[in-house]
Amino acid sequence: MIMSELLEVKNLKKYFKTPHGMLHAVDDVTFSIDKNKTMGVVGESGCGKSTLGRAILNLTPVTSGSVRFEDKELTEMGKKEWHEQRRDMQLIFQDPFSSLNPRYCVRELIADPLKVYHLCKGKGELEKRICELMDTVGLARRFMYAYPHELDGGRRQRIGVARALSLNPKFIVCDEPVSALDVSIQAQILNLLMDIQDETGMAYLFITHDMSVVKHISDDIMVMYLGCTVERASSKELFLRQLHPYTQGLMSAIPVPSIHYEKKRQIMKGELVSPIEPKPGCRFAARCPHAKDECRQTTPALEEVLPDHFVACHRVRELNSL
Amino acid sequence: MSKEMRHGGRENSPKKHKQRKHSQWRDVWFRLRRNKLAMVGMIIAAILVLLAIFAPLLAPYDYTEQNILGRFQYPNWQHLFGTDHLGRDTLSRVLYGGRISLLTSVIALIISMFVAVIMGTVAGFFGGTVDIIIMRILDVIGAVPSMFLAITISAALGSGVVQTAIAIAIGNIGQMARLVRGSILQSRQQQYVESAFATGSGNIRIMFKQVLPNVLSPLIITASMGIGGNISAISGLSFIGLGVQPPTAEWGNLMNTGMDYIREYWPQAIFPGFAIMLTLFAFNCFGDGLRDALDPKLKQ
Repeated sequence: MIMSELLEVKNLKKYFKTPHGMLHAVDDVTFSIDKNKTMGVVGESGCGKSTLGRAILNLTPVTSGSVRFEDKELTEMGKKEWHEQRRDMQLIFQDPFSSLNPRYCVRELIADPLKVYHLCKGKGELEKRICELMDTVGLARRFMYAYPHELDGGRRQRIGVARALSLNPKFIVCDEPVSALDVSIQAQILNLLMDIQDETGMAYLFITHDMSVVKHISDDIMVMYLGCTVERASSKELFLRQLHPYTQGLMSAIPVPSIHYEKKRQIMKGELVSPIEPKPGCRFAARCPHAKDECRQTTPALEEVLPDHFVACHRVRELNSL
Repeated sequence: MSKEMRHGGRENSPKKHKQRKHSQWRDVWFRLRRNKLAMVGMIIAAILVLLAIFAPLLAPYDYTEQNILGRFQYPNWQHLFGTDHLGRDTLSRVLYGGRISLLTSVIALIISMFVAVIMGTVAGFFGGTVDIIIMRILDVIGAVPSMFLAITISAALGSGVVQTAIAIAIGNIGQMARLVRGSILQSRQQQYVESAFATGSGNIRIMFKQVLPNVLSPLIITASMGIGGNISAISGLSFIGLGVQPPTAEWGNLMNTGMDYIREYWPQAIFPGFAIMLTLFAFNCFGDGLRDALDPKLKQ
């Protein structure tokens, strides 16, 4: 069990300084990912999912907490160590339009990481590796000299995947990789990512706001709300029973493709409270239909309510009659 | 279901696709060649440069040779551009003048661009205190009118091609560095910079591969316009007795001398003026075309 654990995040905090005080983007998040597994992170815009991914990859410095990857502490690493570490940890961006430099053709875009790490000796080997990567992600060779603006969103995202794969990483943060794509192309990219996982034993941190996508790809799911984890469980368990009122709301928002199906939708009222210097108390209390005084005064801790099912809610037992 | 079908996007046949092997620069050249105006500009600019280089071979007379009796001649077969107020052959003087004008303005341009790119890039890329210090230095330089600055520096350094070039270059640095800094600040925000960082590129590599190429096009435009501005600045300096000294010919001072006689005798001012105009036209067209060629998005 210990052996297969690839990434362990403990009490990770990321605060941003703003003129009005500290913005708690990620507040005390703990989880771990095993090899060959996918952790889905869901939550609405601005809940800190992307910041979490970025903090893990050191694209933004961590405020406090620990990130361990293969038993190496990442938060204490220097610049040089990180340079080596990046080969194992890669990122796929949400927007395939702005994440590719419009001045370079597909070949150059994919070759760039290989050149940085001098992974290929000689032009022939580089060429071979680029073709290999293009085959893996399903890009026709005739696009080798095409520029990103000449390709559609799906193909561009394939370039992004090829770039991430080029260094043979063990872990990839997928930051909403399909939310900018057409539904039909979303499925292609998701299947591609899953195939790659089957072949290489890669682990993913899959960030999304789309519940149907996360159901399709994840082994475990973490639901975030305003920088905090509100619920974490295996994908099966979470889709079977949702214990936190916020997760219940999210689930009821998944569209069901049937005309006979009438579902009670739990509409969430109100806005997100400000993440700047939040007051103690449950962050969801302002929108929660079951909130009581206790919820507004003390912050609920994440506790294991059922085996491997963690929830941060004061009234979880009472509401779900556990 | 096979994997091929699930992806739906596999179009690679085993047969080898015929590959266009070419570098980025060959691409740029290919696009540039199709732009007729840019090619015209390039050819004219090249001819002007060649004429300046081979002036000693091409000039029919010595440019300092005076012939007071044959002064103010209108263009004829002996003197294609006529003669000036001292009877010197205007064609020879324009050819030799081109050497000084072009050389000085190109040197000035190279100096100012070199310094501006370094200062602007460092300021824009690292930001913070470094940015503030560099920009405040440039503000101080920018507070002095550039012509006044050029006169002061030129007076301090003395006359000569390099000295004049330095005097003019310093006045241009501020504006160019600001331009570079602006483009860098803008392209630093792009997600592909973060993407490059995530795939292990260091600061220097990101600067050269991701950020600086975006600075290139505004810089090329400014540079091609700058050649013209520099030529007029040089002639301005020559006119007030700094910069290049007579009897050395220089387009600016040729034109300025010709201005004194323009009511009675036009060729002395018109021909150097025409040379300046042609140079500006050629460099502007070429610069414009080069900018378009450098942007792959404009590829038809």
